[in-house]
Parts: sequence; structure tokens; C-alpha cells
Amino acid sequence: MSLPKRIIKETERLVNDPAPGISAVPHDDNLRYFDVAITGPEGSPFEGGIFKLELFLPEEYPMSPPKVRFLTKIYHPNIDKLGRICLDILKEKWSPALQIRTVLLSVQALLSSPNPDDPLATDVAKHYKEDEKGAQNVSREWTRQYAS
Amino acid sequence: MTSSSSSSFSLSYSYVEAVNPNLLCCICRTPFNVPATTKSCSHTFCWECICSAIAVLPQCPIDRSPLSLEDVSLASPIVRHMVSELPVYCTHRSLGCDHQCERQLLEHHLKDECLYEPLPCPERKCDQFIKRKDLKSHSHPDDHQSCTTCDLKFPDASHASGCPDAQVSCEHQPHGCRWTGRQADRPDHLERCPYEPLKEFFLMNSKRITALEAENQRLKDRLEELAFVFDRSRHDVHAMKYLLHPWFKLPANASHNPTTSSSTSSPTGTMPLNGTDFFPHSSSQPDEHDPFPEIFEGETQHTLFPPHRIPFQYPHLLPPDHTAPPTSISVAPLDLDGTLEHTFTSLRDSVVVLAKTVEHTGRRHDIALTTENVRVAEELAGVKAAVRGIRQQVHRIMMERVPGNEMGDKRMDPDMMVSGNPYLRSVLGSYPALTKSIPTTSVTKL
Repeated sequence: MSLPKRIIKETERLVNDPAPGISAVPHDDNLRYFDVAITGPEGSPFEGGIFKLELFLPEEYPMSPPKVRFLTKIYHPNIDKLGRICLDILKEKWSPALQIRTVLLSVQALLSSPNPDDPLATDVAKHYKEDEKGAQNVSREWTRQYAS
Repeated sequence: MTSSSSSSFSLSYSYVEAVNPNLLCCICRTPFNVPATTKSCSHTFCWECICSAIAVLPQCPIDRSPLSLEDVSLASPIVRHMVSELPVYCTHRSLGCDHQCERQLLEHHLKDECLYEPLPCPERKCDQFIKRKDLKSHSHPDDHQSCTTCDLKFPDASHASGCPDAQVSCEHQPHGCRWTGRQADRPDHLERCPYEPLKEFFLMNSKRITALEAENQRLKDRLEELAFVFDRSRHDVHAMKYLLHPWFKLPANASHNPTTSSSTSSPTGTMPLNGTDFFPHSSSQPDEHDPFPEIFEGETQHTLFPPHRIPFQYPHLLPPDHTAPPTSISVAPLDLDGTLEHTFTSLRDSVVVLAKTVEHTGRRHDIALTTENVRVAEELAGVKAAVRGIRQQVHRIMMERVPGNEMGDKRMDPDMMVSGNPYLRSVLGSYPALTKSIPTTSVTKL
């Protein structure tokens, strides 16, 4: 099975010129499967944490979006306990003009600005809406506990 | 991976240098392949990329505006040219081809030039693909047929120069050695072969023969060349002969005189020529008589030159001139037996004679004209004198009439005037119509 040139190029760039706070390394046995690590953005409750994700490029990529999932437990209204992410560009807003780098940057941005109005983890979202400070503290605690 | 998606994204051009990011398709991240631009938002993609993207989601991958296949057209020529002129390496660079060229020329390189391009074996039963450079040396196991002599199925290295058991003859057989035997025994035989010591001589001889043959061939070529030149020259001579026609002399028919066959009735010798009436005749009946009708009949096969019928002889055009001037001019007839130069000289002489005749005639005319002029002038003077006399007469008559007229009518009666003058009456009597119409004023003027 040959790998599309686009994936090779993207991988090369991710490895040689990584975006700040983001690393993505393909598996040796499956070049469509990436181990990703995103550092928590400064000023967010996730600061200081290193969050592991898995990213898989499906057969149809780039016509269909990559599948991304958090492996590290995280207290975030848009990420459920299975690690699934509620992000429009990973679903209906996907465009073949997007790429792994932009997806991961979006995920990083999602950590900076949680969106409780479009929740995936409803209980976390409710917590964030009702008591943002308290919810952020829980997020900080989870980050310290699981992502350090 | 499916073959369709691989053709979309892995058209494996290997670019020599980094490509301007503006020329990269945002879908496949490689320089545009058949660039296509959207009409609605003017974004450019590879044709296949945007087609497959629209098939998944009918919107522009860059700005998410609605998009259908109808909104996509080929990109502007400048974009197409820029990407098709990008330098690329040959796709078989990894195999050893270090060719690089414009992207648009790569297909041609692979199709016709690249030594590393795998080509199907021309043998029908063979379905292998072989690099172009190896195609000649490519062989199939079946090509090695079993040795007929030793029944070895796939002859090994010892068979490289033939089976050792094969019956061969001495290499000096062409020179007369009758030895035959096993291939393996041939070296032994060569040591004893009586022709072996003469090998050098044979070699030298065959070299010489080869050289002579080459020389022969060269001479043959030269001969052909010369034959061609000769043919052309002969053709030229033929053409010249046709042009020179009556003046062309072959030793055999040097006495041939075409004028004898012409139907001229005038003598061909010295003849009188009246310059004044020669030319009108010649132009009014130019072709009634062919000066040499038979000459051209024998030459009609020449179509290279149109027949110039030069009226070089014209005695028949002249009517028998009995009113020739006292100085008869002699024009030499054309002598077709002479050389061309001679003919020209005689023609020139004739022209000189003609010129003289024309000049002479002109002078005669001048003299005649002058004489005539003098005569007319004298006559005119006579007439003038007569008119003056008549005028005086009329004047006198008028003067006679005036006193009688002053007492009566102021106007003159022309009838009376005329009837009173016997001279006028006799003149006007022959013109009865005029007598009435002559106005008074015209008469008083006289």
C-alpha cells in the first residue's frame, strides 16, 4: 500500500518543523497512525500538562477528516471521557484544504477556549456554565493528576 | 489503497527545486496537476483533487462557499504554463536515470527515451516488464534450446562457443582444408593443419581483396556520377541544338538547306526592297507562308522550348515591286548554310541598308513637301490678289449707289443692290437661296 505524497509531506513537515507545543510522530508499522502530544496552552487551566492524543488518517484522507482522540484524561466540556473531541472541523466543517497541523492547532486552541454551549461532556459543560472557576480548578487538578 | 485514489494523489513527480507555495494545491500539497480554478471564488486546485472534493462535499475547500462541478474550469494559461514548466527529475531516478526536464516533457522522456522505463517484453508469451536498456539482452529460458549434439537441456558455460561434441570443420576450410571433427579437437588439428602457417598470407590477401572491392565500389559510384553529368550535358546540348535550330551543323547534314523547301516564289538572291511598303505588308500577312515548315516537324518532341518562329527570311512577303525607286537597295538573303555569326552579320547589313533606305526616302519626302509648299504659297498669293480686286470693285459699286439712297430709304434693298450690279448678280445667281438672306450689314462690311 503506497502512501499518498501529501501524507508523506505532511509527516516530514510535522517532524522537521513542528508547531510550538505540538508533536506528532507516525508509527513505524502504520504511517497513517500518529502519536500526538499537545502541551496545555499558557493561561489555560491545562497549562503545564502534556496531553497525549492519537490521530489516524483514514483511507479517504484528505477527503475525509482525520480521526483524533484524547488518550489522556481531561476535564473539558468539549471532550468526553472516551477522549472524543467535539470540534466542527473534525466533522461537518472538514475541508481537504485543512491538514494535520491545522487540526492539532485547533485542538490546542480548543483547550484555551472551551465552548460549553456546544458540549460533548454535558456534565462538564454544565459545571463550566454554572461555576467556571470551580470547573477550571477541576480541570487544573485533572491536568496535574493525569497530564504531568 | 485503491488505484483511483492513488492516481489522484501520487502522480509521483519529483521536483528539482522547492516550488513556489502559490503553485501548490492545498488538497494534495503538490504543484498543480491540470490546474482548475473555481469561477465563484477563484481558488485553484488540481482538477482531480477538486473533483473528488466536490464529490464528497459540494463546497470550496478553502472558503466553504457552495461549489459545483460547473463552477470549475481550467486555470488560466499562465498558471498551467508555470506548473508544466517546473523542472522535475525522471521518475526512474532511483533506478539510475539522472535525467531532469520540464514537467510537461517528462511523459515524452519516459515514452521514448528513458533507458530505465520498464517496457513489456515484445514476446507474446512473456509478460515481464524489462527496462528499455535491458530489452536487447533480455532472453527467456525457452530461448536456450537443448543442445542437439549432447542433449544437454540448458547448455552451460561450456556451450558458450558451441557444443564440444559438435561436428565442425577447420577454420581454413575456405582455403582448402578438408578436416572435420569435434569442436573440442579443433585446436589440436590447427597445430598440424598445413594451412595454419599460411594464415598470415591469407589474412593479408583477404585484406587486399577487401580494399580492392572498396576501391571498385568507389569507382563504380564515380562512374555513375559521371554518367549522370554526361546525361545532363547531353540534354543541354540537345536543348542548344534545338535553340540554334537551322544553324546547328552536324557534319552529316551540313548541306541541308531548309529554304529550298519553303514555298517562296520570290528569288532568294539579291532583290530590290522598297522600304516604304515593306512593313505594312509584313504586318498584314505574317504567317501566310511558313519560312521553314519542315524544320519543326522533325523537332516537335521538344517541349522544353517553345518553337520560336523567327521570320528571318521574308522575300515572299514583298510584292513584285515595279515602282521601285531608281536607287534599288540590295538586302542579302539569309544564308542558312553559313554559321550563326555569319547570319547575324548579314542580317545586320540588311538592317543598315534598310536604315539608309528609310533615310533616303525621308529626304525625298522633305524635298517634295518643300516644293509643294512653295506652289501652294504662290497660288494663295494669286487668290488674295483676285479677292482684293473684287473688293475694290464692290466698293466702287457701293459708292455709286450711295447718293440715290440718301434721299429715300435709309436701308438698302439687297435685291436692288444685287440686280444693279451685274457682277454680283452673276455670282449670287447660282445661289438663289442666299440672295434673299444676305443681311445688309454683311454687305456694308465689304
